[in-house]
Amino acid sequence: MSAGAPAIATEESVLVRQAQQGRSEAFGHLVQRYQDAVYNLCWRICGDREEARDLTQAAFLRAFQALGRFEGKCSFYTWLFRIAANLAISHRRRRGPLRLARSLEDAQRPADRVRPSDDGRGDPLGQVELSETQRLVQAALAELDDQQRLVLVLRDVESMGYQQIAEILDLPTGTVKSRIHRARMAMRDRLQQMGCLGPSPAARPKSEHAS
Amino acid sequence: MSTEDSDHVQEQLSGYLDGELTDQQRQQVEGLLAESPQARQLLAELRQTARLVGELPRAKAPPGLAESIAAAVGTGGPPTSPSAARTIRWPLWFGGSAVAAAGILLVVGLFLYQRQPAQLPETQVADTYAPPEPGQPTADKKRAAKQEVGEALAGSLERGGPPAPAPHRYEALAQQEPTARNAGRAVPEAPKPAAAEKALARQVPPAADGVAALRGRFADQTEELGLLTEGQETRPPTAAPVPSPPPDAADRLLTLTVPDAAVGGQVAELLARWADSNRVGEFVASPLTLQALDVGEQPILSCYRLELDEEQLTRLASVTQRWEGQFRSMQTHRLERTLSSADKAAKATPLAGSGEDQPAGPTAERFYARSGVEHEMKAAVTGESARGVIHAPGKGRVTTTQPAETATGKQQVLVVIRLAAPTTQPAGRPPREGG
Repeated sequence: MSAGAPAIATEESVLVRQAQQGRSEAFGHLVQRYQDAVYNLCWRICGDREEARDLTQAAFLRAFQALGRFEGKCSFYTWLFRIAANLAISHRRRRGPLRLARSLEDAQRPADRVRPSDDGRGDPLGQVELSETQRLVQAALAELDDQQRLVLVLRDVESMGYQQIAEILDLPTGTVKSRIHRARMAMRDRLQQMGCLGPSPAARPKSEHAS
Repeated sequence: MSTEDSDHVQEQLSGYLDGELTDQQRQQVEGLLAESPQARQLLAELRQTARLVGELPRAKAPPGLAESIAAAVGTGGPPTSPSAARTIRWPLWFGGSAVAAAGILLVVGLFLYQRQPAQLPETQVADTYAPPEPGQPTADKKRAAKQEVGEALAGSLERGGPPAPAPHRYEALAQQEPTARNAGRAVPEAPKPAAAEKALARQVPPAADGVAALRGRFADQTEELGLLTEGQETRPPTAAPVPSPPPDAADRLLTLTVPDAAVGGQVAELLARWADSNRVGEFVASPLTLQALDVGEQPILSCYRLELDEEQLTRLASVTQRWEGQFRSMQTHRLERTLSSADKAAKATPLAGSGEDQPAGPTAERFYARSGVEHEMKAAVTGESARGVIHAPGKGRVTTTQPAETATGKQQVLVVIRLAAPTTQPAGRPPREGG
């Protein structure tokens, strides 16, 4: 390699290339790697586990079929998410209102708690409180329209940057920014009504900003 | 500021929260925040909203889904057996001892040292965690296990022995003599105790004053590589080709104690990449690779093995110090790209030496999973100027091992980037930005 430059050999690109060359196990690895994320996205959009499972499978199948046309202009992950998001949104358009009850029931299943609480409230007592809060947050999220829910899931659940979200949704970054803001404002209004937003010390003058 | 302007700026609050504004936009928002308690209140509420949404549980794909997909697409399916997971280019010695009473403990001790007596042992890293078990608070369990094994580890190190025994052990040997490798015996020499390593480190004359200062600086850091597992059934990919080790690579002994074969396979693969990536500035494990290991509070984002000259090392130290504790708390590869405008200019140039593994498209996408610190690290090595954007304080760790001189006269370090244990950030505080 040329001197002094870090080589960023992503495994993903290697796997994708191998899959494109017909190495089926490489695609299996990609499935293994991303199935949770894709499934979670589909579940969040459609609100039903069975449908999410079918959508996830359909997304991977479509990705597999289109693999030859994947040119690496974006990451495979982004590309896959684009497929999954389109499928899930199209599916939602054909369905009625989100099946909230199922979604709420799902949220309380302990098996879903694959992600530890970020704030140390992961103890059993805290879990009860967290579940209640999460139930309300989930209900509020389900009330958003599909597109708003999608951007919030990509942004706040999947922690994607605006650029990546823009690539997934095939939108300008500015549109993504305003959509996220509107979605968050809508969520904030609902959470406020539900009493989920506690009193905040934000009215105090802000202190530091530069590192 | 007029009401209209104020409304316009207010619309930027989410972008501000997410660190997605230009400098000018950011300054406008800060101006608004400075003069408007309402704006500060709204920002706090938006932050809380984002946090609450981000804390929603994430669903895991149901069992059998991968197999269904494999069947649907007619592939061979995902890797499912531990043997597949352990398919790496060096042999693994798997001692399946039946120490399960203490629950599933994960001890990762990484010993890297070089055989030549005159050369400095690189580092020793060790950490312990216990995954949550039913009926006991997770945090307490972790703490207890950590303390217990930590004490055992400390005791054994004082005695000059290897790390404390734990459920299963992988001993992975890289670039060992073929006979020993084939015999499957992994330990040609006992790992040197920490005290002896430190003493040796003090005796070794540093290459230069700058390096000496760095040695001292890094020596105080906790050189630990924390891996937490909950025994997930995920398997690491094994299809990626692993290059042959360069002839000048030093012998290394990697001793790992892991809860089960699956995790052992994951760790082994990760370490295989470390051991095999003896080129300058190799990115040795992608965050994606490490996602399989990320089920705890301190997910590893990436690991680098770097061989640097003194000047590069000095620059790297300033980068890693600047970033210490400055990450946004995120999950593994979802660490968003946080590049300043200067970095964006740099993106136009493909990474030198990136080779064919890079996607052929625009370089912007290549960075989607890279954080500012990685970009700055690259710049530190190449001598370029780059500045990442720091989002939130107290969320990340950059651990750099003590530099060790290689046979070629370079200084070799491992840099491990991971999230720190979560800390509660006061509501209403704007994200920090560097640069």
